[in-house]
Amino acid sequence: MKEIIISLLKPFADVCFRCVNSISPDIAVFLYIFVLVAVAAWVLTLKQEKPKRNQKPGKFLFVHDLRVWAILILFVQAVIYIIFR
Amino acid sequence: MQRLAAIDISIVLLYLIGLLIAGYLLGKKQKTDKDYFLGGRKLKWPMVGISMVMSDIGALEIVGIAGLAYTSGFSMANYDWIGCIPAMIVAAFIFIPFYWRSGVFTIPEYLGRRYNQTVRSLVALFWGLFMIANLGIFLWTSAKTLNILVGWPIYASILATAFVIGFYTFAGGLRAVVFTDTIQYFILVLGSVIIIVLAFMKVGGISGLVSTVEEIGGPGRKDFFHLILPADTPHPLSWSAILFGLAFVLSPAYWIGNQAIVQRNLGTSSERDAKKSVLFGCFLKLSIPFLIVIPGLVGFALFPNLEKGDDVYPTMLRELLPPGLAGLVFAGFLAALMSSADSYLNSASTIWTMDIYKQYIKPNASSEHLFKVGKSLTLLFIIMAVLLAPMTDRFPGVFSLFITLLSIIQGPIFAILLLGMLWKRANGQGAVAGLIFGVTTSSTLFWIKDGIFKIEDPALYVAWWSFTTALITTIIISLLTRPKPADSLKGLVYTTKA
Repeated sequence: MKEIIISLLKPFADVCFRCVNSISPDIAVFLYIFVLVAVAAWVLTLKQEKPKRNQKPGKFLFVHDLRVWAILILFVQAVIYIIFR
Repeated sequence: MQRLAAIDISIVLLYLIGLLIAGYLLGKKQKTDKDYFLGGRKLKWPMVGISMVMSDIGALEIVGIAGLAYTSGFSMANYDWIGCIPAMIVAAFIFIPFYWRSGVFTIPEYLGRRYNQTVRSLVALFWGLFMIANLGIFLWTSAKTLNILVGWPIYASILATAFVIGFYTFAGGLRAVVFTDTIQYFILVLGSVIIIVLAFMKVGGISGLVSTVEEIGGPGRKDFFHLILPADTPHPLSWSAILFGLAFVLSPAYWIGNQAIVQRNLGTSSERDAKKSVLFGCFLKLSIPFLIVIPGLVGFALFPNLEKGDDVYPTMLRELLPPGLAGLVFAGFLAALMSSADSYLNSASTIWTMDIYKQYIKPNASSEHLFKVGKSLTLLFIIMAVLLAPMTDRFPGVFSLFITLLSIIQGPIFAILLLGMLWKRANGQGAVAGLIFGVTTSSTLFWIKDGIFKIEDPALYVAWWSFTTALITTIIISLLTRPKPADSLKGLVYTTKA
């Protein structure tokens, strides 16, 4: 049984392996950064994450918008990947 | 063999007694299931953020990730970076507020409302069993380290750790878990910083580390300092396994679908606080690889001939630290262990109480009754974990075992969770089929792994394929069967309002 399943899946597994193996680590870095940038871009499309009046009275500052912190974290993360790749 | 001195053991004992007292005091005023399982929904967001991270980086991570960093190198940092950050941010803005608004106790409870009770029971069963098995792994990891450092027999160590964790989780519930996690985080950071500074002093700084690894590392460690490894690397952490298996499946599944992680977010007092807690956890995550991966790298330069990678952290603790500091760092290590174990213990008891007991045994149980059942189950699970702990020794590495267990169930559960939240057409029949087919796929792939994968430990690839098959199966079966009435989906799918 085990052998039959292996013989059925092996050709597909080999094709997948050849595909990913053809991508060099340098291009892979680009893919990683792309994921981080894509998440940051998605965060920007969300509504402003302001506190409600009863939670934070007073003037609204841009740092009260939670999206700013998310983008900052993603930016730091992207820099880390560029440095340590 | 140098072991902990009397002063170190005193520090550790003092710390353990402190935890017992904290658990007792925090649990005194609790009366209902909401108090016990969700901290009365009064938890502070910074503490919840810290607690999330601490539940994730248990001793298992410290021993296991430092151990894998010892053999595979800096690429282990991916587990805390690309393997956490994007998923946590998506969780913060979409999924966590969604759970918070729906007012559920558990993720199976959400799935039960979204699909049907069969899905709820299956997921509760998978998670419940996974959590109890993990508790056994946590206890074994701590016992091995106590055995190396203090010389206590392994079974005595298992019982001692189980007693402390069991007591404060039993007595204090989620509030005690979050409170102790916060203290434990600061002890862990202090301990790790001390060990890193001493290790770097001994190896000759960063340049000393690089030159030593180049000298003794050999071809197996040519990518030791790289985050991104080629797809044909013999290590389990190729760029493709990390991106597809970890970043796209296991990580979101973990931060969005793991009850032990999500439960504390549900205990915050507002939706905004729930979001803030996740973002704060995310911010802390940026620093975690420096605290736990670096010791594994420096450990290789200092002790290159260890039999198992998992031995590197306890060995560094034993060999590098002077009396007094060793006790403090070891307390930090115990802290990390307990922070994971307590979360899993509390969450296992929550799932079995709310999704199994309340659903099948006593549907009309009062809040006070469920509170008592939750406490009794906490006690039962810690006993079961003590009995299961020795089985861990049959596996090559603790972190690999954890990821293997995780990769069997996480992919399929994440697939149905994702479809359930984002696609109105997904229905109960599709979810049951997807869950069963996904878990069958992951089990089969582990069974035949030697025949089709080119690496020894393909857990990340298995997670990807089990997720994909569960996703496709759920879509196909849902399209072939009758959809759920639109009215019953209000507030349960992202695009619908309650």
